[in-house]
Amino acid sequence: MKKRIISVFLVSSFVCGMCMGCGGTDNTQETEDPDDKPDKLVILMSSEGTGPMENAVAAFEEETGIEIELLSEAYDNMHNKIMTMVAGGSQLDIVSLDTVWPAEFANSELILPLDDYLDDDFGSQFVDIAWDQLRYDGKQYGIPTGNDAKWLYYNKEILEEAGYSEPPSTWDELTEMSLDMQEKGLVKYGLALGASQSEGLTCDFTSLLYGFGGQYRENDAEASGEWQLDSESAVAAVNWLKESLQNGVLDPASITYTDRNVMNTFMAGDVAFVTGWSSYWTTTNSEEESAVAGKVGMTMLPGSENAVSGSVAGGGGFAVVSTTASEKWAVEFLKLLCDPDVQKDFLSGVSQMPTLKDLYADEELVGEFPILEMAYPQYEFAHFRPILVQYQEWSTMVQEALHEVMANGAEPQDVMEELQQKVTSQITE
Amino acid sequence: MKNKRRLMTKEARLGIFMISPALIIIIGLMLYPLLYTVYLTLVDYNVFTGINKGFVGVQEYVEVFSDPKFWNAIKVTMYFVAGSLLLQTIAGFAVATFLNIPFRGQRILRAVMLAPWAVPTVVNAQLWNWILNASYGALNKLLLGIGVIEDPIVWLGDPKLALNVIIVADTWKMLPLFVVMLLAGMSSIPPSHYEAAKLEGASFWQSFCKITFPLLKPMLLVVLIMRTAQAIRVFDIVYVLTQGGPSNSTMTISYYTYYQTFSALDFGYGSTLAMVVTLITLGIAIIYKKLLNADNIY
Repeated sequence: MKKRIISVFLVSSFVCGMCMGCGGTDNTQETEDPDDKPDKLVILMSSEGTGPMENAVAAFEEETGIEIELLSEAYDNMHNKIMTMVAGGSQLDIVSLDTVWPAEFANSELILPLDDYLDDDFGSQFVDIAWDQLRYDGKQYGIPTGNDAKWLYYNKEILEEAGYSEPPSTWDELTEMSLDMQEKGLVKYGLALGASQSEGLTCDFTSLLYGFGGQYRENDAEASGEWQLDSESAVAAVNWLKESLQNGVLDPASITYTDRNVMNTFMAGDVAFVTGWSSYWTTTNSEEESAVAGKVGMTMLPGSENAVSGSVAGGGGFAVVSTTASEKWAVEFLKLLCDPDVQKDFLSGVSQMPTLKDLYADEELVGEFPILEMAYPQYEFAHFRPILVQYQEWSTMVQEALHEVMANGAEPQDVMEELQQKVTSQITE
Repeated sequence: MKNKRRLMTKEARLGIFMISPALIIIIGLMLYPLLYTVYLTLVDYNVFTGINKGFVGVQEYVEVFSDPKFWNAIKVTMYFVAGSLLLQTIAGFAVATFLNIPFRGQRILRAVMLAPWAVPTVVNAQLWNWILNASYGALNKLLLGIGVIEDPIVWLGDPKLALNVIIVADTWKMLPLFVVMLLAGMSSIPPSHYEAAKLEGASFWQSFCKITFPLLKPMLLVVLIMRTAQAIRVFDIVYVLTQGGPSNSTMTISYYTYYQTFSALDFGYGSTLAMVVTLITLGIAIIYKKLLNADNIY
């Protein structure tokens, strides 16, 4: 009898334990007293920015007495890490929000709209593109902290040796210069791209597409209308990729690089050009990591006869997870990230471009950080990737199509026509 | 008689009680997640919002089987399984036979042989990532140096090469398992068998085919069963080296399941894929078990 009681106890305690463990997937919120301070807030962010973030964390902890646990993850794993943490029921209050995630996250109610906690003119302090890209369905889901795009980084020394005083302004010019420099034995290849089957490829394609005068949809500004993936310009852009692989302008290993490790080839001096985010500026100029430190130039991505330049808008900000311990205090922390001093920390630490308009006009700051001036012109030509709930699916389709061409040598025209059809029929929201 | 029966039940009850902790752990950690996965495949349930739109039947399964990417993943996985098992069996026999011949330094070599087995899969994958890097990898440098190739080969960027290269990287790590198991089997074969064969004038090759291989078959089957189940679920090495690319040529079924579940966020679809993988593994295990039972050599 005694044994039975013990075993019943064991079983029931185990079952209870399991039920509690599963409770994390239940996202219904209990009503909270807004002034109730949580003991701790958990933040998940991309590993590059943790250094500068620590100052902000220390300031917040001191001011509010709320402990901050800072978790970091390589950028490429961020999306999945957020998913697994929330689905698994771990405490998570604030997460990095990439520019392409708001639609998807908002749609699955993973993050909260912040409008109730922000003044009406709160958004006006930011560069428009940075603020707007974290909106979805008329609501603001994130606070922008990084204002990124892709630029063309070039090796000044190699260009000078080859007799060029200016970087290329069109993709065709880049081809000519690359072939010339290869002939002179100055570089192995002209350009390296992070073109492995991941988001970086979609970003580079966006730059190329707009650089060749194309666009994603008929009414791009409002993210609506027919897709235009098989337009003349789109095919021309893909054609350029294919030809560049054939004539040796593009490092053939590009297809294995991500948009992070592609820098290594450039930093070893093997290629003259690389397309990259603003953070490349600090890394490629770091004496410890880079053999080309001090010889790096940064300019707008090339264009064509149809467009001055084309780039992709990136960066992003932070959002509040719907299962947070305290909405109010999580938003308080986000507001702190809009402090000019915090943004300066990120600028000097990892060359993350500020989102506050005023900082670009701050002469003292521009004097100290010439990257602000170098970077600014590109924003005019930076474009959003499509705002879609099915963004990941869409992006995968684009990556697969491009790999059909780059890895399997398929015909750009056919591939893009097929992509156009597939996207039109399968991407519905 | 009556007394005895009561004794048995009492003993049985005690037995059940004794194994109950293990049983509960197994049920909690294996049966429950398995059944929950089956449940997820049959309903339209959003894990984030907690909204359950109810029973949708086998709809997810129909979708899986009509998904060309699923069939591509099956093809890639089967190629990987067949390729890596074949390569590892052949190389395993070769190395084990070599290490079975007594020579100076044999013990040291046997110990060294085990080293790759101790390397975690992800570390192994990173290691090969450096070896295979097209611009500054060791393999290209070596091949360029001895003049075998003129231009660096992009090992992981060519759809025809990438999966084969992954098989090689996997073999480097998994070979020790084959070698150790086969060596253990070899040392249990009585030397008199070989002496008799020698007296009959059998060549090395003949005695390998007629003695070594048949006697090692049960051992080989055990290793193959373990490895097949493992190889079907290959994930980490793909994750580190290619993320399924180029052009989906290394998109194995496990990686595809992961992708659908956590990138495309379709837990129902991912669970269905996972169920299909489980069923395939189970099917193969049953076939192997039959084979193993049929073989009563020992």
